[in-house]
Amino acid sequence: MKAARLLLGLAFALLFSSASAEPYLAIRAGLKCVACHVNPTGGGLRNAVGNTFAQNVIPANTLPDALQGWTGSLLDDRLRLGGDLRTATTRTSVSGQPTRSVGGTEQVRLYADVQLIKDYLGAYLDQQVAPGKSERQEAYVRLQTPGLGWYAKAGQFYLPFGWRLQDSLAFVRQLSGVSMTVPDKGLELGHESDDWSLQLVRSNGPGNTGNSNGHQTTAQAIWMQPWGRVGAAAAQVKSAAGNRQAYGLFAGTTTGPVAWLAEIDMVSDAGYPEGKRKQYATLLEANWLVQQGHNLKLTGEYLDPDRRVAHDNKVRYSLVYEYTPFAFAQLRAGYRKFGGIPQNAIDNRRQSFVELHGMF
Amino acid sequence: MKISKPWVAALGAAAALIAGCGGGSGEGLDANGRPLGEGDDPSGPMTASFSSIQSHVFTPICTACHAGAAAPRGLRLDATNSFAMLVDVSSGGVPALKRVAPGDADNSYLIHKLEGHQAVGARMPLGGPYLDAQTIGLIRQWINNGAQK
Repeated sequence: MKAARLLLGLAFALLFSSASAEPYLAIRAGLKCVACHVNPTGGGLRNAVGNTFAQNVIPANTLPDALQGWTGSLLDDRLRLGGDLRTATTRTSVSGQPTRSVGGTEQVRLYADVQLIKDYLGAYLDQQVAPGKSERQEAYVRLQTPGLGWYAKAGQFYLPFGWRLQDSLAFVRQLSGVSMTVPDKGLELGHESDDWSLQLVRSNGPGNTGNSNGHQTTAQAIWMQPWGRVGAAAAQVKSAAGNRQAYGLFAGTTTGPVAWLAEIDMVSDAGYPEGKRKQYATLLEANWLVQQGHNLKLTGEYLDPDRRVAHDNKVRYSLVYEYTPFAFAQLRAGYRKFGGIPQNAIDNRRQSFVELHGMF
Repeated sequence: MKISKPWVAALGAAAALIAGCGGGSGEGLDANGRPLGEGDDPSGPMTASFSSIQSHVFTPICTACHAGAAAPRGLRLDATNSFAMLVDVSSGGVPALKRVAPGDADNSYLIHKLEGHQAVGARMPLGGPYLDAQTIGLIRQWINNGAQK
């Protein structure tokens, strides 16, 4: 009977797929990323706490008893499975051009984590199976102390730098070059305590492929407090294309039902034809918990693509409503307004979108 | 959930603050946001030449990510590097395909990425807006004409 319920729950999850973790959820709940995710730096596959959270805290309604019970865990917690589906229709308006609508699958990902030696050694996989050909996003082995006080990851993974936003097109993610679409290969050492999350990474550098040789060193520290958290990150790229330094400061807190995220990233990059270019980007995001299952996200972003050039800054404003009627399914609808120099119509576009998002 | 007035005010103030900032005035800049005279002028209509594709597509759109020392897959599409990194260079995603195979747009990885073919993963530009058929047609024409610089 239990197995049947689990299968029914899994099938339901696969059909209707659910709300994924975003940093504001951790801020709102006062939890660390690792509290809900298998990956110590967050994102992707959820652990047992994360699944419980997704089924009972985020959605507006609880699942019927017959559909409850899916924890993602199989074989006495030695195997954990998950997945993520996003399909959307996006309408883009550019001045002087016909309005265009594009719809389809944005991503389908499957996650797996195997405990090779329980509580000590595990292997993690994040495979994007659509759209297009199947691509490995993350694949690493993880050596850890029980309870994850210390850990090491070796393989391919996303680098720790600032807020791990689902929106990979946010200016701070584009500028830092670190997002959930750009994995890197290397070794990460980390420490998790009540007050701190610390990471130190030595990796190839996402840009160091093909004829471009070099490496990247990335460090991040997050200080957890009852009122919120503050983090700092730094990355140094040594590359034949030019060296690059990136620094980020980020913070999150809550005021009543509103969870706030802020980040500022500064980059100095010698990989440009005219020489070193200094850039910075900021993000301010407010997430208003209108009521359980309903989140209103308001985001303002600023990008200065070259500090030596005046009057070239860009802005991006987003208003997104996220409705999670029940576990495993979320509807998102949003509007984005871009602002840039008036000579460039695309930099001043408008976008609206509707997205069905699922996760199990 | 009942929301108190101070939080509404705080949210409203934040919205007003961030909405008050707009894009740059563009004074003294070309359409790519670069100082006038630094690069090719992209203000005219696009043609099937490399310099026109660079100034209308690669520089204003692709270099949002594909530039600098952290360019994804090391692919830098700024005006200085793009030609050497595209033409007759094997793609990282599908090594059997050249990024740009001169004379053969159908088998150029660049075209597959721009048109969103199933075999090459996410369509570019990532997250859109995607290039219209006319723009891709001009890039195809440049490739089929030999992909000259």
